Amino acid sequence: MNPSVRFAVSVLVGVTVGIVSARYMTTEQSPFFTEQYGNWNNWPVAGNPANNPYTQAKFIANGQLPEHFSEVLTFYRNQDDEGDKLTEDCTYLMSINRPTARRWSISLTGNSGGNPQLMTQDDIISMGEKVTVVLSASPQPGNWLRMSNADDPRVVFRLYDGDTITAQGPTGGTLGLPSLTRVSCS
Amino acid sequence: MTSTRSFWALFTVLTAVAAHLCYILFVPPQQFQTKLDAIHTENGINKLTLAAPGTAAASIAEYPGELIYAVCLFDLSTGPLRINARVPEQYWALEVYNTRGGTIYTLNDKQAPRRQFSLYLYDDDPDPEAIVNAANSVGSSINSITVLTGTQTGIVVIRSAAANQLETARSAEALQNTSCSLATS
Repeated sequence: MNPSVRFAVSVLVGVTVGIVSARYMTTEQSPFFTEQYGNWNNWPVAGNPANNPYTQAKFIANGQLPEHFSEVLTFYRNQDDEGDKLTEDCTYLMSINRPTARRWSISLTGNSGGNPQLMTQDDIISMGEKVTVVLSASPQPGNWLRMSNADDPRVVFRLYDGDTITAQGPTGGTLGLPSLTRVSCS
Repeated sequence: MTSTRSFWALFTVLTAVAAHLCYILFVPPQQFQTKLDAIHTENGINKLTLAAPGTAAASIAEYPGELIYAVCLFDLSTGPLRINARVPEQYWALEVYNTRGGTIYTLNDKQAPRRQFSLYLYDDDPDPEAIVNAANSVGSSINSITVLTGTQTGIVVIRSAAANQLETARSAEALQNTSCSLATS
């Protein structure tokens, strides 16, 4: 092969692999800089001035200024408990023991650009310590987050008072992150 | 033949590593700087503005359904910055960031000394003893806090609870009575 062609091919392949790998490592699915609690992901050093360039890149590439992890712990997931991708064709049940954090929220976002569906601790209807929320495209009794128009749905769970929670021990069991089970699909 | 192949394989790998590092180190900061430039153009510098929908500042409001955001781009090249904060009796957090998105300082409603306080940002140490005293006094009776940023430019973001109408009204009123300006002005 002609050396100049080899050079061009090598540069093209190298640049493509370099950029694609860089973009992948700043996604929420990256296993390198996220902490995983079951199917929940968290960027553990968000907002830390000493954080790694990948965590910084993840947030600022989207124009976001991450809240310091001592303020808010934010967890993301786009899979149910079985590991299947969330889809608006299915109905899901999220359940959790009422968090001890003074504020918390559950929101449902997607790539369609619509407003995220949000539920905070004040919106939750619950008689006891157990909180359940149904994620579905059709209206549901009780706590309901609408899934329609949510292309590539993603659930975001935020716990304020990150410093207090972290001091208690940031493990999945201690934090008591919500489970998300598929109930039915259309 | 084998050495030629090895050379091009190594060249490809090194090109990939260089492209990867260049992307991570330069592209996101540049994208972010573009956002900061848009906020600067719209709101100016050393001035607090509410991140209302449709404004350039709203681009940093990641959770607008549960928080109200106010931002102040700062430039300390001509002197320290003073934030006269009047904060609501509910959740809020103030964070100072450098232009690469790293947190320099954070303060929330549980840590703040009072509902009204002044926060001074210096890029360099104006009086080491005074700062030690101030730091030791945070949480007691003082209403003035001094922060060394270590950088001349950055952004202050105040996030205040807005999960319902009452919280939103309280936050909006408090932030409208909060200012950000050069301490010398």
